[in-house]
Amino acid sequence: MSFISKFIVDTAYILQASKRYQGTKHFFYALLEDDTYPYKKYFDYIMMLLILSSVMLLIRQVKYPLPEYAVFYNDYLISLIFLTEYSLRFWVHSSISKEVVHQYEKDEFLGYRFRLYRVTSKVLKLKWRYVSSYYAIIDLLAIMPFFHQLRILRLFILFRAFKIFRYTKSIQQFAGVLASKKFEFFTLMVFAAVMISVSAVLIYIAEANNKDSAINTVFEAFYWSFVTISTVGYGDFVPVTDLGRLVAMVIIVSGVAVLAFSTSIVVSAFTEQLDGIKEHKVITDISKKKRFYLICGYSDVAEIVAKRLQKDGLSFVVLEKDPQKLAQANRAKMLTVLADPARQESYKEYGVDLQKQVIAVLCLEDTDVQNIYTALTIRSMHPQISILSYLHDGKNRKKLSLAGVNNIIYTQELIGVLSREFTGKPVAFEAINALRSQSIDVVIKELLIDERIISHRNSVEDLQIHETKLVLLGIYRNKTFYFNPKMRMELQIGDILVLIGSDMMIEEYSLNLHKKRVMR
Amino acid sequence: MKSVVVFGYNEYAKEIALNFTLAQTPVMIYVIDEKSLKEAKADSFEAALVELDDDWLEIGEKFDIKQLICFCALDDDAQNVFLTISLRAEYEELFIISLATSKVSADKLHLAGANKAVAKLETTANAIVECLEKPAVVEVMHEILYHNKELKLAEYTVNSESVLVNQQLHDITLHESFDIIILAIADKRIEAEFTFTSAGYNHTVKAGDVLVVIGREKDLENFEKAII
Repeated sequence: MSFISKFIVDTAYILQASKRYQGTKHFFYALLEDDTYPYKKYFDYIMMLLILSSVMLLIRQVKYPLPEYAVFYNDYLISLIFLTEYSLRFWVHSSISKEVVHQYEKDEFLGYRFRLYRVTSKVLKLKWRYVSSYYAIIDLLAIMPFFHQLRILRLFILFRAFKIFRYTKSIQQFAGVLASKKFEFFTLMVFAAVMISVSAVLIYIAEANNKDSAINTVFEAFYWSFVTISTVGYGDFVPVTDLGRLVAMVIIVSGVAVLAFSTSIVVSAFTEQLDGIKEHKVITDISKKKRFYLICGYSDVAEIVAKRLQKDGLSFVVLEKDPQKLAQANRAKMLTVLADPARQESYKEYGVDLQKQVIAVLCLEDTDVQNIYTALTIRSMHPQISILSYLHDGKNRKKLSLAGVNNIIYTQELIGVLSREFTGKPVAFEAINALRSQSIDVVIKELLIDERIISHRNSVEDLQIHETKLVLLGIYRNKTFYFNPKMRMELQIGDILVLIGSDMMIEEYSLNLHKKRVMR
Repeated sequence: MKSVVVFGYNEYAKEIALNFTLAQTPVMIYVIDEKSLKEAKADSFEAALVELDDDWLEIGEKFDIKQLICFCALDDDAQNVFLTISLRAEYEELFIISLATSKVSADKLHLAGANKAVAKLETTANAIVECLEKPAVVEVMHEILYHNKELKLAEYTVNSESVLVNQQLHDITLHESFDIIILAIADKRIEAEFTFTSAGYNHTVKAGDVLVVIGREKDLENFEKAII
C-alpha cells in the first residue's frame, strides 16, 4: 500500500472512531436535513429571512444605487453564509471516511490490494449525486452573485428566491404532488409544443409576406402562437389573411383544451394525494405530542370517554379503522389515525412510541374479539404498558385478562352493584355519585405526596388539614387504604391523599403544601 | 320486606338479579319472550312471561307496592320508556329504576316517570375516565361501596330527639371520637340537595335531615346509637 493510501486509510479510521467528529457531523446533519430535529425550523426561518432581505435589495437596486454596506451584505456576507451552508450539506450528505474504511475492510477480507482510485470513484459518485440534485444546483446558483464583477451573475440573486423552497414544507409538498403527475404533464406539454410549432410555421407561411400583417419573423410567429394557445391573446400581433385566421381558430380551441386539461391534472393530483398529505400531518402531530392516552376504536363509549378527556384537557390519540366513525372523531377536532389498532404496523407507520409517549391504552372497540386482538397486539409490543379494556360479554372476562389487560370495565356488573347500593342507601349513594361524576362543585381528588412536600411535612398533623374545610378521607399507600388517618401517622413519598372538597380549594391547598413551611 | 322485580333478561338484568339474590332480597323476573324466559329459568330465577301492553294489575296483587323496587332492563330504549310510563300510570308510589343506552334516553325515562335512569354509555365512560384520572379514588370507592370489608358507607336520618338537631354542621365534633367521617348532609325536603361537609358553607341540622357517613362497621353502630 502506498504512503498516500496508508495515510488516507489511517485518517479515515481516526475520523470514524472520533466521537467529537461524528457528533459534530450528526449535529449539522440534524440541523440541515432532519425535519424532526426541533431546532431545524429556527435555522430554516433565519435562512428564509436572509433570502427575503437579499431579494428586496435586488428590487431596490433596480432604480436606486445601494449603499456600500448593503452591497457588501448582499454580495459577500449572504453569499458566504450560503457557501458555508452548501459546503456543510456537501459534507453531511455522505461519509468519505466510512466509504474508505468499508472499502479497505472489504479488500482486506477478500485478500485484494487496496486501490485508491476505486474508493475515489465511489466517493465522487456519491458526492455527485448531491451536487447534481435539484436543490444543490439552486443552492450553487444562489452563491453566484459572489462573483459580482460579472454583471450577468447578478441575476442569479433571483435563484435565492427559489432557495426558499428548501425551507418551506408546504411548497415542497405542492411540488411533490405535481411531480406525481409527471407523465400527464409531459404528454400535455408535448401536445402543446407540437401545436405551437405547427401553427407558428403555418402562420409564418401565411402572414410573413403580407404587407398588412405585423408577423414578419419566425420568432414573432412563435410568440403569437404561444400567446394565443395560452388564451392570453395580447393583440399586438394579429393574423390578417384567411389562412392565418383559420390557424388562429384551431389554436384557440386547442388552447382551451390544454388549459382545461392542465387544471384537471392538478386537481386530480391533489385529490389523489390528499390522504397522503393528511397522513403526513397526523404523523408530525403525533411526534410533537409528549404523553397521551391511546384510544383504540371509536365506539359510542369511546366517543364519550374522548369528549371527557378533551374537556379535562388531557391529550389522546384515536385509532380507528372505519373511516365513517373516524370522520365523527375528526368533526370533534380530535387527533385521529385511520388504522387498524390490531396491526403492529399501524403503530410503526404513524410513529406511535408506546414506550415513551403512551400513558395507557384504552381498548374500546365494538366487540370483545377486536378488543382481545388489539390488547394482544399491544401486549406483544410492550410487556409493561397499562391496558384498559371495555368488556361486552361477561363470558370473555378471562380471555381479556389472558390477553394482558390490566383493567377491565364491565358495565353490566357495575350497574348490578350500583342498583343494589342505590336501593339500600339512596341518599348516601347519590352523594357519592354526585362527588364522582363531577357534576357539582365538590369533588373527590387525589394529591400525591412528593419529595417537596415531605421535605418539610412529616406527619398527617403537618398537613394542617383542619385549618382548611377539606375532608381527608384517607391515605392510599401501596394498595392499602388508611381511612381517616391519625394525626401522628408518618407520611411517605408516594402516598396519595384522597381529598374531598371544592376543586378550587383543593388546588389552592396543593399549592400551599408545596410552598409553605409548617407554622409551629 | 323489600322485593325486586326486573323486567327483561339480559346481562344487565342478570347482574342486577344476582346482586339482590346475594343480598337475600326476593327477585322476580318478567320477560317478554320465550327465549329470555328459558334463560332466566336456566339460571334458577323465578320468572314469568308478560305482554308489554299488560295493565300490570298482577304486580299490585302480588307485591306490596311500597316495598317494591322495579328495574326496567329491556334491551330496547323505547320499550323501557313504554314500560316505565305504563307502570307509573298504574302505581304512583312504585320505585322505578330504568336502564337507558345514552343520556338522551335517560332524560326521556325521567320524563316518563322513572325515579332513577341509568345511562349505560355514560356510566361506562365515567368509570373509564375515573380509572385513568383517579386510580386511587377508584380503589377506595370500590373498597367502600362494593367489597363489604370493614369500611362502609351509611346514611342516618336525624330524628327530633337527636343531640345533633340545631347544631351547625361544622361544629359537630361527635363523629371524631367515633373515628368516622361525615361526608354530607341531605335535606329531605329538597330532593337531591346535599351540603357537603367540605363545601365550605354551613348548614344547621334539622330533624329529618339525612347524614351520609363513612366509617368502620363497629364505629358506625356506636355512632348511630349516640346520635339517636
